[in-house]
Amino acid sequence: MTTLKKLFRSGLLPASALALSLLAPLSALAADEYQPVPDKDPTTIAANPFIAGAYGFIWVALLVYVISVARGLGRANAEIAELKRKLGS
Amino acid sequence: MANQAATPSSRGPGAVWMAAVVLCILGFAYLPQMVVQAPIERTMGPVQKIFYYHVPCAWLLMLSTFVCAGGSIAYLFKGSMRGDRVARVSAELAVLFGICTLVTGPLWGRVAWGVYWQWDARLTSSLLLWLVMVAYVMARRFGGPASRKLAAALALFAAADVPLVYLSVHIWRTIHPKTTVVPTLGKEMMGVFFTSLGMFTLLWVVLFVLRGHLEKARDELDTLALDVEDHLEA
Repeated sequence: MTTLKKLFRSGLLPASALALSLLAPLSALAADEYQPVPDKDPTTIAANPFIAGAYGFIWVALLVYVISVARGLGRANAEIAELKRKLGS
Repeated sequence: MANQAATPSSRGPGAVWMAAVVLCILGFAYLPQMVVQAPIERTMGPVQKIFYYHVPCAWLLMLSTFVCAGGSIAYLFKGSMRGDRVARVSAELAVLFGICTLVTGPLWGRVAWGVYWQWDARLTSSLLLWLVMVAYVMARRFGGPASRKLAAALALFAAADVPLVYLSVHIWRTIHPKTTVVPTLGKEMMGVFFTSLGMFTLLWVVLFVLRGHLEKARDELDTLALDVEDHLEA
């Protein structure tokens, strides 16, 4: 505690705090300047499987539904033909 | 002129049906190309492109629910068996497009929000709507003829949920985009969106007709089965 008071009174602590507050934005700016710009946005890489997955799911769901309806229709028509044959005989 | 007007009907429903099916296949093969070429949205990035599938599916979930409710009303109050068939067919389509909405939405949300699911008003009310339509289909599938009226009542509850789903983004604070986003789309985005919406709606019509044929065939089968029983007893 006394060491802190001494540092504050000597002006070293306030000066250091001032220096840090001034340097912080500069260091951030410097870091931004030296950051390599990614040639591809990371979200582009992440998004593509999700977009393809969404469309793929719709295709699969529709295909399964169409196949199930077509099979049901085929079965029903076959049974109708069978019953008509029974009625005719 | 009269001959020209008569030409489409003389080709019969087969030609119209085939044209719709071919248009659907071509449209759905070309749609991904259009979506890839659509502009990338500024804040969400490319994942926003799921919008071009997700919104048409949600629209068809709502449309199917309303058609189902309309058929159910006709059945409940007028005893219309045709209305009952329409309701049954559209309920299945509501379940189909509902699952597409509920899968594509979270895939979009995973990238845009960082999570697949939030118990947000729009998401929860949509899930509820889908579950009611699933209940309708299950009741009709396993409940026998006695379940017709119960299922019709379920359809009315589902239809009552549709405005709630639509307005939920305006009534409550949600993380889901608002419906007002559509009129603000740019020209290119708008073109892709309405093309997709049109293709999905045409697909809905094709599926509705196809599934309607199955329902008619099943009704014919039931009638024939009764005729055969009578025939054998006689």
